[in-house]
Amino acid sequence: MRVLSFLAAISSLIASAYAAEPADPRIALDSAFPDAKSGKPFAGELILVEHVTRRGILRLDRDGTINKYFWDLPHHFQMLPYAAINLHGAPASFEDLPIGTHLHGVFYLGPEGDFQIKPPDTGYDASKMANPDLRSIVTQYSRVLTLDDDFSYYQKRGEGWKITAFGPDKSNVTVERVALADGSAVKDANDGNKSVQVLHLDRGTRIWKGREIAALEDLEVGQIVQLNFTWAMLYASMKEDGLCRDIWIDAASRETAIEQQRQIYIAQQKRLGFPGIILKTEPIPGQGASGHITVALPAGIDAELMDAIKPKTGLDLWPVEPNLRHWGSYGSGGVEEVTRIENPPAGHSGVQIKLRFYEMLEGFRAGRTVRMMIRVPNVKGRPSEDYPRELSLYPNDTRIFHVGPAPVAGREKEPEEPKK
Amino acid sequence: MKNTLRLSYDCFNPISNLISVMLTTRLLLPIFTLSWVIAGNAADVLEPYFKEHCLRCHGEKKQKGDLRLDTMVRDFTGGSETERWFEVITRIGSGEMPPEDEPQPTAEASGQVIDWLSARIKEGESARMAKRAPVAHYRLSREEYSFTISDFLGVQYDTRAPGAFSEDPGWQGFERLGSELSLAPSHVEKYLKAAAEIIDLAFPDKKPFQVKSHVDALYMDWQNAGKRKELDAIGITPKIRTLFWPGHILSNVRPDGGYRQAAGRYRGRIQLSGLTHAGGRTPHVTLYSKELDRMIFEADVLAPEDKPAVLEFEVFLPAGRWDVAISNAVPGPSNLGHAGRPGGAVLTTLKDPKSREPWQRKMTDDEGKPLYPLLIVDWIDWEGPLESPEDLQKREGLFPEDNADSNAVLACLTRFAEGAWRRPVTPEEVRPYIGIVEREQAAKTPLRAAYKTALLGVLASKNFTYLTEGSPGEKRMLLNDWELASRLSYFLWSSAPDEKLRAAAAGGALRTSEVLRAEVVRMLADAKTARFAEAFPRQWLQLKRVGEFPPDEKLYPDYEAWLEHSMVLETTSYFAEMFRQNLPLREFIDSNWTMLNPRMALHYGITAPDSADFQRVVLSPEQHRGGLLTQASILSLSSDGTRHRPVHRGIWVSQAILGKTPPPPPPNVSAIQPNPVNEPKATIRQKLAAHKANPNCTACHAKIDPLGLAFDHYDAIGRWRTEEVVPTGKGNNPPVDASGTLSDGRHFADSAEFKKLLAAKPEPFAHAFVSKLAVYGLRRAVTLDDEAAIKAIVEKCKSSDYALRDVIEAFVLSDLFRKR
Repeated sequence: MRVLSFLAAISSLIASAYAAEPADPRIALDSAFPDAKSGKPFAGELILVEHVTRRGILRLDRDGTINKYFWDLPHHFQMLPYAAINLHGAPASFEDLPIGTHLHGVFYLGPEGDFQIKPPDTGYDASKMANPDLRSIVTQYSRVLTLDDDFSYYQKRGEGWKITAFGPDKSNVTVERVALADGSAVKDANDGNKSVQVLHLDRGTRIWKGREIAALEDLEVGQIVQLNFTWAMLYASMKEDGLCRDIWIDAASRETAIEQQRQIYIAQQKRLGFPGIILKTEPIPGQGASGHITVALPAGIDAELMDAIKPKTGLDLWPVEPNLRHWGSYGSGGVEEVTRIENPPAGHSGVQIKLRFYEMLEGFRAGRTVRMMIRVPNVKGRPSEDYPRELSLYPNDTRIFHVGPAPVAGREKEPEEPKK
Repeated sequence: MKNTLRLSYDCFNPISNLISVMLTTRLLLPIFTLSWVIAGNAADVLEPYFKEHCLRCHGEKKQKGDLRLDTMVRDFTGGSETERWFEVITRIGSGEMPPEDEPQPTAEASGQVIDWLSARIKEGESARMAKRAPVAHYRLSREEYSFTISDFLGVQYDTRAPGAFSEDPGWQGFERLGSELSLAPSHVEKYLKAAAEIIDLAFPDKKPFQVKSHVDALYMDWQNAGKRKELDAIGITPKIRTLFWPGHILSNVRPDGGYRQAAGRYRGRIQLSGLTHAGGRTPHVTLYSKELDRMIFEADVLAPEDKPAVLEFEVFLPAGRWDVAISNAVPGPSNLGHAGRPGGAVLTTLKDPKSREPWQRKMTDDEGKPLYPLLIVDWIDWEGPLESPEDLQKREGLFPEDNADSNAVLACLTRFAEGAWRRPVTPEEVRPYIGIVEREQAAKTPLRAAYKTALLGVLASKNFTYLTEGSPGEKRMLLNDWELASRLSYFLWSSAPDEKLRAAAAGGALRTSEVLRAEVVRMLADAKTARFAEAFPRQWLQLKRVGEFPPDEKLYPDYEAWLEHSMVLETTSYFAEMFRQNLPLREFIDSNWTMLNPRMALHYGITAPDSADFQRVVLSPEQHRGGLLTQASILSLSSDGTRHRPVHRGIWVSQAILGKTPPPPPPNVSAIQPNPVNEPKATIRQKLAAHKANPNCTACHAKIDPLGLAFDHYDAIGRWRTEEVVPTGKGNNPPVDASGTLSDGRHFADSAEFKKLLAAKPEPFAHAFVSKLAVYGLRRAVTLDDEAAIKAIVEKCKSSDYALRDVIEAFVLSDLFRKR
């Protein structure tokens, strides 16, 4: 970051200022960054999305983590406000994720938040389920810190897949997990993911080569590729691990995909703003409603956006719920200071900015989430579904389904695995 | 220094004492000279002296101080000329004239002139008295009218309401002078209208609709009032409170629920919390009616969020539908933006983040402490029109039954007239009003309406609206008992005599010192004396002038209505405390205490008292307060909207504290110009010095200015400062110089020393104070002829160190008070 001033001397102080430590390190609060080591990684297929409230459901992989009697139990999750999403090797918004995408996530326990939304009574809620109390050992890990599609997950690790064999008529492909740098096999990744997979190919599989769509014929044994599993992991035969929907067979195609997604993300973040977590606020005595706000930028924000934040630039802060829904109003501030801390906690980019506001709003409080918006022209307005409203007072509410288990008093112990 | 120290103080004394004064000075004269001088004529005594010592500056060619002695009428039977001659005596006697730089007369020559003039003034006294009218009329001020009606009939009638009575004209702050309170045709119309309303309120034809309403927090909060059903369903309605941030106004708290309400006295009760922020303003609740153009209630509020206070007040409201708006009237950020608006969230407690919408202006910091002075209101209860048993008792026997015979009607009407007119009435006086009843009845008007018409006549009569002293065709010098009773009750209570005082008057012994003393003691103990304790200082100190020139908002952003009101309340509360404790008059000049509410404490930079009311606060010297002279009300009433005005402050001190009114400035005096941009910054004092270089100005300014410059450490709204802010010019703001020299030569460095000098010799102030009491009590300006009596009162109070109540008592018991 060219514009960041490095203040290592105070970084540990600043970092500790907001380290509101929950009793259980596995808990992730909306108001504080969690312990990096306590998150649990799971992977699964995205089967339902409510992007407005940043909630969704995964069908977790049948990878041995969960007893087979709990296979395919819908895993409800809520994105943490500072959660980072990557698609095609680049930062992405929640709404960018297509249904059916196979995702790798890091999950935390989720206590009832300060601003938890009461689910609407749709007549199709938990009480109508056949077995509403059924919970697996991981059900309560419902708060998401990161979500990566396969491309992003392996690309970040410097890994890819080497084609080792094809099935009859190229109906499937066998791939081996390798290092991108030298093509050497990755045997002991120890992340719960396989090192060899057999993936089904069909006529819908998109094969990306350079900046073009290629054909099955372009696939060759020995190629090192990136690929995404998709919606049909249960579709393939028992010998196959799933359906491959996209394959990027060369570096040029991967760079094209990354850059394209990156630009989508940048445009979207400029339009709707990116989240920030308020670390502290300070009223300025004798200056009316003025005050200072220090905000932490979450990890996963594109460098181009970060670069735009520098001293003496203006920034609009929208008070939002932890799911990033706003109230249609914002405060305009000026950036006074940009600092970077060392060894930021999980979810924290390490960048903190101090802003001065002419008018402090109720939503500007330590631990609260804001959307930060660089002022851009040609924005007509904000999506109306972004406005949180009480259902009983505003029947045009857009929430459509009940996410998550029914509220319980306190947090239950993790259920033990049922005996076989 | 000249040997005039004693004289300079005695210049306020009556002529009869001047000779004794002079005997203590260099102006010793042989007795035979005295007798010759007194008997001499002007040509022998006055003219040679004037020609030699005076006419160079006060003659044909020059008229310094707008005074020309050679043509001044040598007539001592008129009031105004005699006053001017007395001024001449005073100036010569004090050694002030001729000035030091002029050839000095011998003491003998000056003494001859003084004696000759004194003798002429004394000779003119009886002639001046003879010129007075046999009957003097003093109209009730509108304040007295209200109190009189309230005490007589138990009806609250607001004479200050829009469309009610006109503002009373004042003279040097006094609003009850007979010579000023004239009667115009418009007054008559208003008196008739008022009388009709008062009679209807006292004797309504049908019982007025009783309002008993409860305005809860949700009802006030119009934005959320429509959600009552939903909020009831989740059971939080009883917990809902309404938050008022600075400048936040809600207009939904009227007592009548939207219906036309009957006129009368209403009681309001309001439960609310008042939270202040560190070192800041105390929240201030106001209930204001735009239609009535009236503040119905206002108060500072200090009460924790979980321990709300209940405030109670009573107010007279005329008939009609009056919107009442409630607000937290303290300054704060503008509410014009989005964030300053009310939101869709209802407040239960500030601790609940859901009680405020995230887009609204932040009201508490991250630890939950208020960022502004906040009011949290639970409810307002209204009840009225109120009628106490005491009110009903006052009306007993004043209104006949519907089937009453003529004797009963006559008895009722006579009682009513005696109550209204504050004296016994003769059958002849009542006869015209009975005639009204009879004529109305003959025209088939029911007795009730006919009788009300007669009452209208009684209340609109001059006998009610005027206090009358004297008898036609009779040169009476003393008041009779009934006149004395009214003078006394209007002096202490601003209202008519009560039954006991009337009984004393009827007994014919009120004029005796024993009975009069007993009455004064009784009356001073009555709660109604609070009216005196409020009205007298307001008029004496000219507090009406506070806010006359509203300070510039840019220069004095902290100035606002409640500060202005609190300034006046500090002064009247100070007087009330002096009165309660019977403290010596010198504490008006200098003391180590004052009365403060949180707003005034903030204004002075003094730790606020715990209570929202005015509390007695002990002061230390470094707080630079104590006494009246350094109260913000006094310091601001003598300033204009942009800066302090030392000359005006000096004039005020001269008038209110020393009892001397300086002559008006000559015409065409150029105003003090703003500081030039390219010149060093200069204080007003420095500019005045240049102004005074003009010899025509020096004489007066030399006397006035030190009295005002002593308070240069206080800006236009009474805040302490060490340097004077000069908006234009080069360099730093100049430091304040508040030093000066009194006319008797005593030097002072600042206001603290100035106050000490004045307080060290309280006689002149006591004299001025008694004179002010006399103006207030006698309802006329005091003249030269009252000097002896005033001096006597001052002398009498010396032994009690001029304790306030003792001075008041001595004044009432003096000959002056009992004379016309």
